[in-house]
Amino acid sequence: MICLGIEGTAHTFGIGIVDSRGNILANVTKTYLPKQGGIHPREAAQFHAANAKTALVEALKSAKLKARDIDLVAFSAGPGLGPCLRTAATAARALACWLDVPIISVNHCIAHIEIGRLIEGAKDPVTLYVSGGNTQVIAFDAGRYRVFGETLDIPIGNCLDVFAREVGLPHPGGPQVERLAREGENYIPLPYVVKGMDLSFSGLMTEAVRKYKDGADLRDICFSLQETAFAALVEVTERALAHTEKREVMLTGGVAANQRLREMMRLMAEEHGARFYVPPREFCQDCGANIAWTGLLAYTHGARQRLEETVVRQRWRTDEVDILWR
Amino acid sequence: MSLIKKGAEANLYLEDFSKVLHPAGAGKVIVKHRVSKEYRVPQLDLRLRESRTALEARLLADAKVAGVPTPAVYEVDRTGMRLVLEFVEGERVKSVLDKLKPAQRHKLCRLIGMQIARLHKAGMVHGDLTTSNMILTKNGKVYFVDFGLGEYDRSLEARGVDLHLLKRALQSTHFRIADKAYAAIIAGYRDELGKSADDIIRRAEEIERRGRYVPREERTWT
Amino acid sequence: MVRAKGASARVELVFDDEEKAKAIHSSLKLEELPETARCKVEVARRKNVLFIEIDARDTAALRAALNSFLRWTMVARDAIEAVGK
Repeated sequence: MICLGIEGTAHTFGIGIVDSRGNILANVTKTYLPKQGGIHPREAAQFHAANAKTALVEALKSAKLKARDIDLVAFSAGPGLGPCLRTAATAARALACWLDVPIISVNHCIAHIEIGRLIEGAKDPVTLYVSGGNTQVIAFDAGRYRVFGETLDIPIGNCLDVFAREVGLPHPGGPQVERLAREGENYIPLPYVVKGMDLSFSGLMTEAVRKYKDGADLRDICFSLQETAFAALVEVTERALAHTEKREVMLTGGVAANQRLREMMRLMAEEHGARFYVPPREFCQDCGANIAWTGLLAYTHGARQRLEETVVRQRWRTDEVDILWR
Repeated sequence: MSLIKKGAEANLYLEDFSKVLHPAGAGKVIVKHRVSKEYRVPQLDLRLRESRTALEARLLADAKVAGVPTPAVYEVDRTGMRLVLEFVEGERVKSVLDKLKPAQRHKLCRLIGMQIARLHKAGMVHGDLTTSNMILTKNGKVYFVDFGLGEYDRSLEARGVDLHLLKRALQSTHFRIADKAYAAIIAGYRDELGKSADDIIRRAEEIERRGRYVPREERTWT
Repeated sequence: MVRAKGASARVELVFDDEEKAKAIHSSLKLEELPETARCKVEVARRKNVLFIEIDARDTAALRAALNSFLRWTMVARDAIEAVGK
């Protein structure tokens, strides 16, 4: 069975094609980069609409497949930005109707975990999923992915991006902050906010910007911002690991590209004797292959959907989804 | 010393009173040691361990004064990052909550809610309300332990977060009975705190909605 | 809906093939659910022609809905044409 997956929750429009043995036959992504400021949902949706055709053509070509080879269409139904979700959903419905194949809604956050399990061979990890739109600590328990910790205000990727913008660094801000942080030497105390297993980054971000305006060295601030924010992320993951008594830790999402965060997570995992996984960059980021594989898992384990049930869900919670395949 | 729990943040050891504190003493004590984390930059590591050790000692004592059972603090060692605490015998609420009969569970949850209200009334928040951090003793008392993330904070936000965290802990650990248990906790909370509880409960619900992916422009087409 | 003060539009889109119009119609149908009170949208089809009817509270709302529905029509058509038969 061959599944075509469409990703379109935020910046990225992606088409992935995956077969039921877990072979990734194509994974094409088109990423919208705002000229300035943050993401504008309508502009991103427009970008997705304008790039859908090229992405689909490229994906079919690289998979060496024809339309009639597709047996299933999966799409990211949430969580995400409304205009983007609805654009991807419309494309998915049109394809499913046109090809007369079934359609499956996929939860974007769960897709990140499933592709990690497929590619890295992790069985039952505590996952830290960090990106511009999401910050969650997730672990499987009794039929569902449970959220053990999450941000109480802004996601970590958003925290880094907004900070970068405020201090005049180009977009995307994360890699810029990481580069400067490597040259930072002095740790400047910043607000560290962990509430149980939940996190808060807005106070930290504001204070880091204030330090910059007060004249502190930008490299030191970047260093301190990363150290503080990442320590909080790792601590929360550590708490979930201790709480669930699992033996594996996985890091994924766009911010997983950060080398310092990887190092900190690895050290924590080692201390607890847990195995540590980070999927390759291509699959940490938003992409269609994540969606295709997760849709395929759901379908082959009995999930069925009528077209009328494919409404998008902007705030679709990770823990609302019954996981039929585990 | 025997390690009884390797937590995320601290190690707990069970030790003889006579060895740790005074040769004349009998029974057991808990030694809570906040260990250094290799992943943290040393300055932050030191700051977190030191402040949490000192603050936890104060919170434990003040909570007791407020009418919330907590282990007695025998010693605070800010250099070694150690607390010596009373050993409370009992079962973690985490391991009994699902097994209790509905009526008993309801009673226990109401008591927990009442105690949270007492904490809040006295200007404290626990910061990590989970059923792992509550010990039910033979005589029916519920001890709140691990104030490592607690704070002196009278704000609506802090109190709302406290309730929200407990709800989340129930949903992840006791998902089959989470809704009923939380409702009973809220009932006990409201009993103790009166009308002022309503704003806090509302805030907790707001926090629950806020934590999600909430782009500002999502609801418009323009 | 305050029709007297509102703004409305009716769009007819002619496709080269009835099957295509049918798939696009099905894909858009779910998006007509009103999210706000600002406008009401109906999508209909007759043979190879797609009709989009919008009743909006004001011109800003009308423009927004028109943009969205044209974008979705475009993405649905592009997706179909990209894969072919």
